[in-house]
Amino acid sequence: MLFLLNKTQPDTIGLIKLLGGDVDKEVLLTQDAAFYATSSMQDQFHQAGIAHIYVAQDALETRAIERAPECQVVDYDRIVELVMEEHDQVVCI
Amino acid sequence: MSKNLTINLLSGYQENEDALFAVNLAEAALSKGYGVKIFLYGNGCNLANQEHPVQGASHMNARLQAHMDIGKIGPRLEKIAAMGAEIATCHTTEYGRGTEGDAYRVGIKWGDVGQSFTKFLLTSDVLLTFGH
Repeated sequence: MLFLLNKTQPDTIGLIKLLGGDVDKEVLLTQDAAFYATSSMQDQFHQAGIAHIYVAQDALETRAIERAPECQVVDYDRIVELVMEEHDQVVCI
Repeated sequence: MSKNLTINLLSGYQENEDALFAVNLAEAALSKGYGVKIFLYGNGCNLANQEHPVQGASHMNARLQAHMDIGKIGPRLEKIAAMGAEIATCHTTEYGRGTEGDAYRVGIKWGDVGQSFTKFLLTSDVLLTFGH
């Protein structure tokens, strides 16, 4: 299950755990959610069972965010692949 | 047969980056051969209409105007419609904003939830909703 995040909000991690349950989870950070790409958030993502974290290149560059090394930078072509081919479920939160 | 993506866009111009992200994603999906449908709902309906030219002098300087133009993605909606995207708006949310009956941009159609959006859903493989 891919969670597509476009904003920061209280208890994002709790919402992902609630909606995702025990299934394999990945996260795609876009727009203001790119702020979650910093190192301080990565432990929380991993503790929630999120296997991969992707961050949109334009969101990262616009905000001049220093991303954690484990966050994979993706362009729109790659986002299309993630959304259309690589996940059975995509949830926008 | 290629897969279809429906984007339900709840945001309009300027208020956030949802519209910009939606158009960038739609262009990339169309370029890869996927079908794309966009439903302009809520404030997203404000993207459907042709703009009214400013009467007289604008009270913005050129730098501010250039900044505001970044979020004006209406012409890009026309472009992706020409690339094959189906784009419809919701007349009820237009009515609520006083724009029902205004001229649409080229390639954008009158629509509603009961038929237009439902048809999009029934013919799509992936639904993404962008809002704040």
